[in-house]
Amino acid sequence: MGDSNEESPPEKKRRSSSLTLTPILNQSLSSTDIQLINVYTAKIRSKKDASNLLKLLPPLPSDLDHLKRIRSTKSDSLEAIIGHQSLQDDDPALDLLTPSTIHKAPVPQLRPLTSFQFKKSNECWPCNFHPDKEIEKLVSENCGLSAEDMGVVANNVKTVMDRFFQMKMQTCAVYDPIDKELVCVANSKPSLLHHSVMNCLEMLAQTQRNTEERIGNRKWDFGEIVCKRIVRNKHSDYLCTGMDVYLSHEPCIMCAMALLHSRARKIFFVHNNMNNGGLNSVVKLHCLDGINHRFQVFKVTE
Amino acid sequence: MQDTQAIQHCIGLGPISVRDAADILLTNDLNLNHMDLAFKLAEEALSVGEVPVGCVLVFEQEVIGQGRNFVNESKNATRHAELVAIDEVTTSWAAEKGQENKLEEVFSKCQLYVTVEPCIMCASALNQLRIPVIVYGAANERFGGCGSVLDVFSKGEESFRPKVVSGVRAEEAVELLKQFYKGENPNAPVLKQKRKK
Ligand SMILES: [Zn+2]
Ligand SMILES: [Zn+2]
Repeated sequence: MGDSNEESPPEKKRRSSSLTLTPILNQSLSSTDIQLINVYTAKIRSKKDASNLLKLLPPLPSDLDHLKRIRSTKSDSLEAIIGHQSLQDDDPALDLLTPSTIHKAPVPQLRPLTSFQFKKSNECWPCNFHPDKEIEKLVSENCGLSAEDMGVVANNVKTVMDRFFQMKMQTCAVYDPIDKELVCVANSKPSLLHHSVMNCLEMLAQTQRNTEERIGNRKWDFGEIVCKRIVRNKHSDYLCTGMDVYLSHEPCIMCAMALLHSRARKIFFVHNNMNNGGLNSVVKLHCLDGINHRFQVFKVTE
Repeated sequence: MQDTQAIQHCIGLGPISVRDAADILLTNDLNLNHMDLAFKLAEEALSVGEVPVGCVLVFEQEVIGQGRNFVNESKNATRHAELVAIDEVTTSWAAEKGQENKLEEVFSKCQLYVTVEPCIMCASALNQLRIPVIVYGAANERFGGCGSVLDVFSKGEESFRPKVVSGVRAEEAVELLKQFYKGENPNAPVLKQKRKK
């Protein structure tokens, strides 16, 4: 299976006992290249002038306000960002700067969004950074999952991959992390649009509609409900609210959106779908602006 | 009368002259009367508390599948009007006409009429079935897959791009959606009076 060659920082790939998770993030989060922009900088004449200079300089424009105004250099002097434009000849701030050192210097163009980007940006010019707890978890070891959770992931991945190899059909499984049990598993059918995700959702919906209180081990020609308890009206009315979904292959755009409509919590997939993948390869639906439900997506490498 | 209305409504293709719009309608053999049925289905959805969207699939001038939103009753968030209509074709119609093995060909010659822009899920389904002509009413700002949130067709194979006509009776479609989101009694006579305009 062809993998996308999207680069991810080494921090993002962490080995568990047997598998590796890569979070599929917005380009702005997964980017490891720090884009630079040239702005005017100058050395400050004397360290004690720094606070006065801050009062004299016009505030940084909003597109630069992720940058610290002043940094100390290796030679133990201070250096300040003037801005996109240099200063007028009669600007009082000039008295506090060393005019011969005014020059254009590269600084990070964008606000760092992860601690990785923060670290890299700081090598160029010190930045402000407000870590997002969820994102930091995602880019940390095992994407923030505990060893126990990683064991669950490994089991569920094995379930879908075993079925995929057995049936030679893409496979989807739904796991309930609250009750800690597999809910259903299905493979695709050769008929039009009967993909494994849609089949799983259909089984869940039929089960939800069922008026019988106990549903266990119900079978369809493409899959089965495998939990023994009441599925009906659990958690909420959306079929996959709070559920984790495991896939042998990245879902197509249709199935990816179906999972969004069904409010899944986390998606794990093994192989990329280069032709029509909706969560990594062709588009990342969960990263689009204006989508009203977000789930986390992970590519699993066995 | 129907034609002038149709031409006036061919507004979703960007700046387009009345003549171009007429061309699109003629060369694709569009019959906007099929929107009547789509709207009837949308109203039916509204009357049972579903999001009011209706959809009709036409093959060789004949309606072969129709659907309305069926999400609440089915408890399946994927039972949108388009997928319901497609299922009708693949099950009842195909069986009745003995066309089970020719479905791919049938879909690749269908026209789809729907009151609201297909969502990303449905647009991808239409893309995979290679339905060549899509006519819709109101834009779908939340989930639209024909350009509002994502243009699904620009993401697929380059060899296939459907003709998409948008804005057909859009105000009517929006009015129905407003009724739904306001939670008004869908059977209130006010609605019918308004719609008759
Ligand atoms: Zn799919
Ligand atoms: Zn839809």
